[in-house]
Amino acid sequence: MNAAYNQLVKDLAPKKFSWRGNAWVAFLVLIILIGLYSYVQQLRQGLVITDMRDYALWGIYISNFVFFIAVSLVGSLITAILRLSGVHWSTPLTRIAEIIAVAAIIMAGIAIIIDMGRPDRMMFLFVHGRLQSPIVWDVVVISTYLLISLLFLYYPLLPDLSILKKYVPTSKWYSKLSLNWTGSEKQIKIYSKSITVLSVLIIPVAFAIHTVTAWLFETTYRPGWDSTNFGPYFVAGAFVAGTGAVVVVMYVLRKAYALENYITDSHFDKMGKILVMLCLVYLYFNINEYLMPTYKSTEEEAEHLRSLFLGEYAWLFWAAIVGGLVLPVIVLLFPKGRKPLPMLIISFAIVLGAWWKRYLIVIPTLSHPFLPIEGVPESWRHYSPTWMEWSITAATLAGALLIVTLLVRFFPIVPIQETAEERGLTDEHTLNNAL
Amino acid sequence: MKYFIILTLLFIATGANSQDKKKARLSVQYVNVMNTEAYLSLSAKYKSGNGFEPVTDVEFHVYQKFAEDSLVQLGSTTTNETGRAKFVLSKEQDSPDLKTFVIKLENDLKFSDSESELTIRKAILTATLETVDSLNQISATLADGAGQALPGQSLRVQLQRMYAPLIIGEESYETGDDGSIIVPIEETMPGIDGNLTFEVVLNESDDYGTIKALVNAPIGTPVVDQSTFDKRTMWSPPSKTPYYLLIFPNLIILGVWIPILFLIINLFRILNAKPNKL
Repeated sequence: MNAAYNQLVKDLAPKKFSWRGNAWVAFLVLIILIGLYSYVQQLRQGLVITDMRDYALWGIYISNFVFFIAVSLVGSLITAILRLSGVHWSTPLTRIAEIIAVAAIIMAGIAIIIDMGRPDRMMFLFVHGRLQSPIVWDVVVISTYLLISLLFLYYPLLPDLSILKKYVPTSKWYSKLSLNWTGSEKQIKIYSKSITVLSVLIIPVAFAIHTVTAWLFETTYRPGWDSTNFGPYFVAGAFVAGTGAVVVVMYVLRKAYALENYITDSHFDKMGKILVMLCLVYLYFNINEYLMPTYKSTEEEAEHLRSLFLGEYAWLFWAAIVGGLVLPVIVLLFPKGRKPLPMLIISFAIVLGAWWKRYLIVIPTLSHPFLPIEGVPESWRHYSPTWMEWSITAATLAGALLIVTLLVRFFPIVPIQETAEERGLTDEHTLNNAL
Repeated sequence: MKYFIILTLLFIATGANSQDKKKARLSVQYVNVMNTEAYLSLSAKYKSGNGFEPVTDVEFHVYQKFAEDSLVQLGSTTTNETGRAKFVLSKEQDSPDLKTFVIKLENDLKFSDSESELTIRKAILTATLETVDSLNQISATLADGAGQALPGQSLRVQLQRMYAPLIIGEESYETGDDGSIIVPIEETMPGIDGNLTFEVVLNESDDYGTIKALVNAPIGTPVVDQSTFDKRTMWSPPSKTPYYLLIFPNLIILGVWIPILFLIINLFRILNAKPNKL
């Protein structure tokens, strides 16, 4: 029993980076530095360094922001919904989902600041903000979700930090962060109650964050955004993107930290089944979103849809729909398609498709306004991100991955205490001996 | 020797300066708003590398020509940032049946000297509002200074509006043998307190200039003030946010943030809990 517990703690405790880990961090830092250089240029010269102009007034910064918001939703799905449903198989995945949620929501906040031409005036949003504006709602809900996500990451870490405090006695941080956790009756009572409150609280806030983001578009009268379907459409898409991201990260971490005994093929199989359901729901919303405007084909909507189905965005659109939704569903219906490696490839395609789908939501609509585009140079009619925009966007993606990488470096990827309890290794004597 | 060089340089600079002077193109219109004011409307521009640009902040002198080509200076006027200027004529200056004005640009540092001449005959335009069989119509008559009707002249009837006049009926109406036109007003139009101001215009005539007659008519539909300035609307400033938007979102914010505070307090409760183990 002691040996088993020792082995479990040894397996799940954070480990120092190998040379591959260090190289990965260096690579991410390099991308971030290139992005920082571009952002400094943007601060000095203004948004003129981007290709955003009178019509395409939102570009990849905003589509990237919506992507991060989407990915952040996964924290509530894997952790809260499954926890409240009494599902225990997801325990090894909860920490990964929470870490991804925190990384994504932090970078979403940064992405929206990057889109501001004058970030030094950000305080004006709070000083002069109007409660009538969906942008103020978004600011409120993002900051709320960030705090809840941090709490949702931190609370379940308390027992693990207490274990690590004894396992790595040289680190003072684990001791401080564990908040004197001893597993006393009173602490467990407060802890359990808080986890339940958090699980309940995070679901409506997570739904709100993506619904409000959808309202940013929906409250603007433009072809493609004039829909009452946008809130649930965005939420459904967010579940797909976030779950895909979790599968990619869990595959990489399982491989890098040899966690095959904890993140098993069965987890991939179950996540694959969940992905099928989520992709089908999202497909249903896509059909709603595109079929009705196509059926009515008002002049402006028809032009916008033509550019998506047959025009300049067609290859991107069909790649995102077929490659990012339809094909994954078909492959995942077969048990072999839900094995770890196929799941990695499919999930990567889903995440990639999800990113481009946000691009397709933002850019084509802005390029097809209700009033004809007049009095601007030809180059302003089309949006093509500059290399600086790409480098800044890549830096935010690298930033999210760096947060994930650093968090898994210092905190257990798989919850130690919960896994031990589920495996019947919670005996106090065993625990003390093990540490 | 030193003074010679300075004088030479000054001469070269003055010569170069005079060569650099631009030519201003001046356009002058005579405008007479009957029973209100008569004025000369000036517009000046010059050709630059970027096309025509307005001649701004430049003084033009206005003269009136009398018998034997004698000029009497009436005054001067300066162009604004759009290159336009207005010179109001007194009753005496406007009274002759045939009058000639000369506008000169003289001794300017940037522009070479130029002048423009304008000869105008006196015309009298009268307009009234009539109601015939419950139908409102504008009746206008154009005559020369001696009271003789002027047939075959194009008159336009329009309604004064904030940015540009609204043309009533056809683009223009030709005066008959008696020098008059009659234009029915078939549509109801909104006006402040129901007051409308119609204009009958002889526009940029070569002989008579621009002549306008104004008719104030209380026949419009009174404009009801629909300002929402003092109301709580979705487009109001923060101090005038609709009550429901103050109440419900703040209730939701409190509903979420009170449990968050509770959760943060719980962290301190865990920190301070007694360490007796299960």
